[in-house]
Amino acid sequence: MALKGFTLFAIRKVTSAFITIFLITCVNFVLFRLVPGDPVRMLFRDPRVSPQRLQEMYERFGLDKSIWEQFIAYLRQLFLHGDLGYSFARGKPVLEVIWSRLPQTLLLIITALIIAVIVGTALGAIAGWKTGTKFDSIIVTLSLGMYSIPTFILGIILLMIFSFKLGIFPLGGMATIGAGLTGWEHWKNVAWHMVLPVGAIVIWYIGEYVLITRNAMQDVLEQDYITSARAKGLKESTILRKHALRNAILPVITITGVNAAFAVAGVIEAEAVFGWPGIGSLMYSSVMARDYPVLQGLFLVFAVAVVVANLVVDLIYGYFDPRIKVRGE
Amino acid sequence: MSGLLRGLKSFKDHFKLLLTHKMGLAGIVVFVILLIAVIFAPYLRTIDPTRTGLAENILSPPSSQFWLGTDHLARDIWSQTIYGARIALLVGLTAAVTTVGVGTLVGLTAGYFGGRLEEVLMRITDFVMILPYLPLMIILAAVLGPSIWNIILVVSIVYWPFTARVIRSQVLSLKERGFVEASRSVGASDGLLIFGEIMPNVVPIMFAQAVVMVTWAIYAEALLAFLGLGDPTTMSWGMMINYAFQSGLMTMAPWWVIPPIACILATILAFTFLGTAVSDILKPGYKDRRGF
Amino acid sequence: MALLQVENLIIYYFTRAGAVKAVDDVSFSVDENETLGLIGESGCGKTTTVFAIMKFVTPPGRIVGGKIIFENRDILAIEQEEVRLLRGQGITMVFQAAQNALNPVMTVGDQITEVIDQHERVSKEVARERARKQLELVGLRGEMVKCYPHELSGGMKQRVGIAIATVCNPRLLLLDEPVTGLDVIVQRQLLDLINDLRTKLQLPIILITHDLSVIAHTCSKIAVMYAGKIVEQADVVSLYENPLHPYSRLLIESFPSIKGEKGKLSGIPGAPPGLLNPPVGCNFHPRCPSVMDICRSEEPVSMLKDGHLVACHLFR
Repeated sequence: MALKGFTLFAIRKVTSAFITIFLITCVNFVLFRLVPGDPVRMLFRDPRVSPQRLQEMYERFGLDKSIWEQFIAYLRQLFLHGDLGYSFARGKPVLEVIWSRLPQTLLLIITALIIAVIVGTALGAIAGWKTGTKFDSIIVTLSLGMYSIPTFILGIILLMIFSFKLGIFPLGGMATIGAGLTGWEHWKNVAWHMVLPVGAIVIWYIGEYVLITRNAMQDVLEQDYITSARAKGLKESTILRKHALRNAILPVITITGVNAAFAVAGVIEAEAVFGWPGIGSLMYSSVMARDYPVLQGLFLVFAVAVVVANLVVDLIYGYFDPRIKVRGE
Repeated sequence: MSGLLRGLKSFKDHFKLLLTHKMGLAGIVVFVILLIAVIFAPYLRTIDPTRTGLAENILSPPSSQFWLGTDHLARDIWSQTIYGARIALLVGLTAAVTTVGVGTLVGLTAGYFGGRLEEVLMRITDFVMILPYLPLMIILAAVLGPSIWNIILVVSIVYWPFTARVIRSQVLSLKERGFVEASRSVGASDGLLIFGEIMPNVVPIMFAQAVVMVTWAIYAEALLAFLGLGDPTTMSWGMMINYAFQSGLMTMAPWWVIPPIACILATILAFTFLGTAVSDILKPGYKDRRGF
Repeated sequence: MALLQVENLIIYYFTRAGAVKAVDDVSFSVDENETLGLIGESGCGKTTTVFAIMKFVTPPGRIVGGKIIFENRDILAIEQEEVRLLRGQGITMVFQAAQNALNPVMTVGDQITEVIDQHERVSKEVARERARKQLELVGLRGEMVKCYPHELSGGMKQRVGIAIATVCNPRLLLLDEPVTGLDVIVQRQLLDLINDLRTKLQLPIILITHDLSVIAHTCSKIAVMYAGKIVEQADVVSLYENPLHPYSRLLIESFPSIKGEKGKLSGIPGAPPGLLNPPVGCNFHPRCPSVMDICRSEEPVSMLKDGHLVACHLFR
């Protein structure tokens, strides 16, 4: 019976996600076509565009037809052919450009997420459990500070101190160029390059999780079922585990979804500072190069990623909170 | 009218409380320092921050002539730092006002009138919120063009939903207290209710939101400048970092990048402290807990 | 020998403004077959007193003096770890109906087996079976072990609370406003259940409430509390028929009876005193209709009169 409720809930969430994605593609279209200084029309003046390409664009995207027909063509290209356009600056389809750099970004963001969740929730839970103690005050002050520093500034600071001054970590990039390393050695080299960029992203991330988990823990500890649990004679560790954490984890799950947009920003900033070859620095260089097709494709990718991340988080939350399952909300 | 007066008096009382709060005091002190830099900039031993200098003075470390050294075009970093405060406060305060203004308008309308209007407004709000803010800001800035006013516009477009949600939920919780229905039942008009009862309760939240928005706006301007989307006619702290980073000489001339970074961090921290102090003070029972 | 004996219990709440005398020299006892009802207005200290029996007093509150002797041991003197072992199986508690005393993300069954697992060495299957049986004992269907708290009504949740509190055969059951906030029919059902369980399990009970009718329905003995002190103790019938202390009398009179003739509703004028600086002399003297000079200067001592223990200068 609970499963049926969950299925309904999942269907509603997935449908809603699809609708949102569709709306985002519409906004994407509007952003790039209907604004002053229409980037697509700029293409005609772009010297890098060859006549054949122009002809192709005309046909595929119906550039000489009405806005509505252009819109339909855009949707058709996107959904039926997975065509995100063509990057003239790089001479390759946008999808290819993005796809080749996506894994590097995923590497950064997933590592940062895992570290942040584990360290952040652990510290936050303890701080919440021990509210008012010295440990708690230190953690809170630290987290507030960590949470407030913009990622790119932190990146620059880390770069200056650990890379330039102390020479511990490389000045940027993903791997030492021309070193020709393979296999395990290569990955060690990559990991060494990853430390600072991940560090920059993760500092904010941990601060956020610590504060949220601590708040959640404090709220939970005020609840009556905690007193009930004590009245049962349960051990404090059991109460923390089965009663406090299981309830405190819920807002933490929620915040992971809300964080998605901030994580995107963090990764773009870190990649820009450290020259990490992912889609974040791709966005940076595309702005420099006025490569609008890539920018448009990237916007879509980032926005869809955020929607999907929120969807996954919603589903996970629905699994953990029995109140949602049954209501099918 | 009485609501307005009540609001003002409460503002004065809250301000006094703020001064006793450690974080609040720190925040106010930094803000005052910023104000001094903004107002008295020309008198603080500064020159035109964009004026390039003599070749021999390029990239020189701090000295008695150039208090914070010079950049790669021999421009005075001390002047850049001081004048940068003007841009920071301009962007921060203007964007805060517009963002909170729009956000409050939407949140208040949605929360108060409810029904279809609320649904439509909130759907729009939620949609704008789900768009990842940095890619959106980057694209808007790239498309609209590099100007400080465009940056303020972009910041407002991206951030207003956050305020809208907070305000709406405050209005909803006020409605739940029943006095809206009660007042309506004795014939109070919407205008009276909104300005007399709801606004005084919403104003403190607006203030707290404004403080947060200042930090976000300063961050956004600095970041956009760093990414090359800043206004080249201005020399904001973000632009300083951008020039330093792009020149490739940043590591050789730390005095170039440290001042803007320090200022941005100090400003953000100060306003964050102010925000925490304000929200602490607004929580019921604050006076009792502090033993007043 | 009384099962539970509370002697001169003093509990203060230490605030910035000073020490609030929440419980000021309270003494009472509960025998094997008794049901004690603790009644008083909000803030009179009844909940704090009962919480102290489980050593549940948390800062800024502190037990400043007195003894709580349960099965010949002073609970206030033993280690926290031993008190923990006592909770859930020696002394158990059912909380206010209005609170969310049940963990929303655990099934009802799990919350019952949890107590069993904590105190007894039994297999999972046995524990689960006992949980089912316990639910049936309190009038719910056995299948409800799989339910989550939000799927149950207020009355059902209270029954679960009672199931949890009785599953390990406790020797003393504490009930804090167990039926407050529920509708009258459900109240009656729950009180009948409590009575039923009391005889079936031979369980002594302390019940806190502000509702005299609840006490009338379930208790054998009653202690009236006011401003941190017990002003009168007696068995229920005797107190109803002959309330000695002016406060008890006003309390009884303020409860309208469904049967009998209609009269004016009376209340007790004034408000309970702040416990930071209670009145000199008798706590009740500012509101007492029979106040005498001595009441304003000397605190009355509890003395035996007509089978009641009453603290009032009227009965010297």
